[in-house]
Amino acid sequence: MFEAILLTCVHHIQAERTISGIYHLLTGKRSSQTMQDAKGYALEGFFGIYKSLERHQLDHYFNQLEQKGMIETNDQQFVHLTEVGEKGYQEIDASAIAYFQGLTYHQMTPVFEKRLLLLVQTMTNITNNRRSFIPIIDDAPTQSWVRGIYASYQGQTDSFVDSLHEELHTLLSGRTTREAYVFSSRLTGNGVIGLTYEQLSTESGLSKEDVHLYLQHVYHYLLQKVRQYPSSFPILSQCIEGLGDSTLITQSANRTYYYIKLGWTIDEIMKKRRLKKSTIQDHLVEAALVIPDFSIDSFISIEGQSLILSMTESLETKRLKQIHQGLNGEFSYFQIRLTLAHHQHFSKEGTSYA
Amino acid sequence: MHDLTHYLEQTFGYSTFREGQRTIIEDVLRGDDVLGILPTGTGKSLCYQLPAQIQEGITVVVSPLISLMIDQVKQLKSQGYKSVIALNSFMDREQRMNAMKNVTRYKLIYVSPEMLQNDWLIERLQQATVDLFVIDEAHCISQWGHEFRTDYLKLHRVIHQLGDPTVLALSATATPEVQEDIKEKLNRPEMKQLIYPMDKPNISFAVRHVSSPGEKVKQIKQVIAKNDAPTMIYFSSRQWAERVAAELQQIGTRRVAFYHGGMEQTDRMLVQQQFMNDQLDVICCTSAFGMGVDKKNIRLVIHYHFPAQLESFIQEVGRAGRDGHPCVSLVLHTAKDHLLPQMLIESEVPEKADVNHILSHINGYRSSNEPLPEDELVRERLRLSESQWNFIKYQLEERGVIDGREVINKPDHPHVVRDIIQVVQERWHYKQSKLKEMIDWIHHTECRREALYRPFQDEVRTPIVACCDACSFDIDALELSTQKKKSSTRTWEERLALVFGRGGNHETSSRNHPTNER
Ligand SMILES: Nc1ncnc2c1ncn2[C@@H]1O[C@H](COP(=O)(O)OP(=O)(O)OP(=O)(O)O)[C@@H](O)[C@H]1O
Ligand SMILES: [Mg+2]
Ligand SMILES: [Zn+2]
Repeated sequence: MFEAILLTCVHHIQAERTISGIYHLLTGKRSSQTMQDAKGYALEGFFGIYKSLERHQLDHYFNQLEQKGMIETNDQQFVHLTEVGEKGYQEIDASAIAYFQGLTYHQMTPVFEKRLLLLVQTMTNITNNRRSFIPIIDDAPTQSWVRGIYASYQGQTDSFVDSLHEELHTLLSGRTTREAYVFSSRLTGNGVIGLTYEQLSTESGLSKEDVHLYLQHVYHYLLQKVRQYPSSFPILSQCIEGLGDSTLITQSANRTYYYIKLGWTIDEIMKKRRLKKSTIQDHLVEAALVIPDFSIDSFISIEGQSLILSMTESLETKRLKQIHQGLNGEFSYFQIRLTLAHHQHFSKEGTSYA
Repeated sequence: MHDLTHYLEQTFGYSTFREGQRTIIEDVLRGDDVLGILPTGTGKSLCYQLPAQIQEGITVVVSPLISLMIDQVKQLKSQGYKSVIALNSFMDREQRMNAMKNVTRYKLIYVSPEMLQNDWLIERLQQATVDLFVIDEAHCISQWGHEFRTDYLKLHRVIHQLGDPTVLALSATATPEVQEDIKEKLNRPEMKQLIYPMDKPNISFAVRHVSSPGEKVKQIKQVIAKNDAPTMIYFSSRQWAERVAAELQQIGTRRVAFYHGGMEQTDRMLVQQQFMNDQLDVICCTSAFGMGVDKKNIRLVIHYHFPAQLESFIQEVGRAGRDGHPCVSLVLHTAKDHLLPQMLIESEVPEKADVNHILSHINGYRSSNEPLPEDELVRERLRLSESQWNFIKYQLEERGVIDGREVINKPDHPHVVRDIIQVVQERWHYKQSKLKEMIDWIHHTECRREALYRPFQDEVRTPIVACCDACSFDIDALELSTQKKKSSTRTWEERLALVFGRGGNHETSSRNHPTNER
C-alpha cells in the first residue's frame, strides 16, 4: 500500500518536487506550499494520511524503490518514475487507495478513531458486565464525549452494542478481508485488548507502515459511507457529530485574504501584520487555490494570465522556473503561481494530472 | 475512632488490611507525621487514599512520575472513586487552568513536585484546608536515594505554606541512611518511623554468568521454553528490548511484546493492558514499565541488564509474585555488563573537570546582564544531560547564585567552585559505590537473599521456596506453568463478534480481573 501511494505521488509530481515535498504532504504539513502541491498535483487524497511518519521511514522506502529501479532522482533532488516504475504505477489496484480523502478528513479522522475505540471498549464492557476497566484512550474530550453517549443510552446498552456491531459489520463487509481484519483486531472490548501496530504487522505479514495506511484507509472509507448514508448508520453518524471538514485555508492566510477583500494593498498588509512580502504572497496563492471567486486581476492582467496559461500548456509543465524563462522573465514567480492557482478551478487541466 | 474496616470494604471492596496499613492510617488520622517503609506492591497507596476519603480536607500526594500518577487516578476512577485528579505538565494550558481553578473540589490531588512550585496553585490550595501531605516514593528526597530529584528538596517549604498539615512519607526501598535524610530534608525530625520488612519469602534468586549477549538470549529461550508463565525481562536500552523481543517471537510458542518509553501512546496502553489481561506471556521492557503496573501473577523476572543499584533491583523483582505464590528472579550477566550502568552514571552527574567551564559560562550571562535562557538551550550550549543540568542548577540555587532565571551572584567564586566540585565528587563516589554493591551482589557466592536484604532490615525471614542458587535453588529444574487463554487466529468477523461479546465461544478472563468488581 505504501509503495502504491509513493508511486502515485511520484507519478503525479513528475520530477517537479523532492522527497521532502512528499513527506510534507503525507504528514499533512499545514503550509501554503504543501496545500498548493496537494491541489496542484491532484494529491489531495493523501494529505495528512500519515502524520506520525518519520523521515527515515520514508527514505527507507524510497531507497528500496530506487534499488528496484522504479524511481530516479535528478541532480536537483527531484524524483520521477522510470519505465519500470511507470509500469508498476499502471498495475496499482486503484480500489485499494480509492477512499483516501486526506485534505477533507485529516483532522476528523483521529477524533473519529479515538471516539470509536473508546466507545466500543466502554459499551461492550458494560453490557458484558465488566464495570472495571482502564480506558485505552486517555484524553479528556474523548472520555467526556463517550460519557455523554453512555448517559443517553442508559438502559439500552444491549441494543446499542448490537446496532453498532451491525453497522460496523455491514460497512466492513464492503472492504477487503485484510482491511477488515486489521480494523477489527485493533479494537478493544469485552475483556479483549486490541493489537498494537507492531503486532498487527507480525500477524498480517504487512509492514508497519502498511498497517497504518490500511487502517487510515478504512477510517476514510467509514467516514465517507457514514456521511453519505447517515440514516443507515445512526450510531457511527453520532461519532462524527460536530466534526466539520477541515478548513482548507490556514488561519493566517485567511486574515490576509480578509484585508485584501477590504481593498488593502500588499504593502499595507505587510506593515499591518509585520510579515514579509513573500509570506503575504504565499497567503494570496493559497487563497486563490481554495476560493474560486477570488479575483486576481489586480495582481496580474487578464492578458498576462492567458499568456502564462498558454505557456504552461505548450511546455506541459507546472514548473515555475521553466514558465518564467519561457516568458523571458516578464512575469514574477508570484504572478505565475497566482495564475496557476486561480485557473485550476476552471480548467479540466487541473484534474488531468490525476 | 472511625470504623476503618467498614471504610475499607465500602471504598475498595477489601475485607482486611495488609500488614502495616492499619497502623499507618491510624497514626495519620491521629495527626502524627509518619515515615512508612513498606515493600513494593503491598499497598502503600491505600495508606493515604483511605484517609483522603475519611477526612474533611484535601489530601495532596506528590508523585515523581506522571505516568504513575495517571495510572493511579485511572485505577481509582475505575473503582468509582471520583473526586481525584492528577495535576501535571501533560495537561494542556486550558485543562490545567480549569483544574487549578476548581482544585478545592477534589479530595485527593496528585501533583508533581514541579507543579508545587507554582505560586498560583499554592494560593488556591491555601484557600482550602489541606489535611494530609503525602510524599510517595520519598527516597527521591534523599541525595542518597536512588532517584534523587532536586525539586523534592523544596517540599518542606511547600508543606509550611500549606499550614503544616500531617505529613506522610512513603517508600519501598530506603536504607537507614536514606530514612534519616528524608526526615532531615522534610524538616520533620520527630517523624514516626514505621518500617516493615521488604524481603519476599516467595521468591528464589539466581544469577547466570555467560560469555556473550547471544548466550543470554539462548538462556532466556531455554528458561521460557520450560516455564510457561507470565514473565518480565528488564533491559537498560530500548533497542535491546526490541531486538530480543523479536528473537523471542521467532520461537512461536510464546506471545512476546516489547514496551518502552519511545512507543506511541495508544500502543503503550495496549501492550500494558494485554499483559495485565494475560494476552501476553513475555514482556521485554525498560524501567519505564513496571511502575504502576500491578499484575498479580508475574512468575519470572529476568534481568538482561542489571540496574545501577540494589534498590532498583529490589523494586523490579518486587513486581513478581504479588499473589504470594512462588516466583523467580534470574539475572543474566556477562563480564562487560558493568559498562552500560557506568555510562548511565556518567550521563547523570556532571564531570568534575567540566565544573569550571560550566560556571564561567554562566558567569557570562551575569556579566552581560542577561537572564539564563531556557533549560534546553543552556543544556545544548553546555552539552549537559537533563539530570546533569538540574544538578548544577540546584547547587547554584542553594548557594544563592541564581534565582529563577537571574544570575544574581558570581558563580565562579573560588569557594562556590570548590564546594560544587566536592558535591560532584561525593555524588560520583556514591553512585559508583552503589553500582559496586550491585556488582558485588552478582558475584556473591553465599546466600543471595541475606546479602540483598540485610542492608535494609535486621532479620531476613526464612523463605517458603527454594532460597537462591547459593543455597538450594536450581533454575534448570524449574518448571512453572499457568493455564491460559487459548488464542487462535480468527476471521475478522469472529474477531469483531468477540470484541462485541456476541461471539458464541468467547473466553472469559475472570482469573486476572480486578477483584473489586461490584
Ligand atoms: N488491604 C488490601 N487488600 C487487598 N488488596 C490490597 C490491599 N491494599 C492494597 N491492595 C492492592 O495491592 C496492590 C498494590 O498496591 P499499591 O500500588 O498501593 O502498592 P505500593 O506499595 O504502592 O507498590 P509500589 O512500591 O509498586 O508503588 C493494588 O492492586 C491494591 O489494590
Ligand atoms: Mg506506590
Ligand atoms: Zn539463599
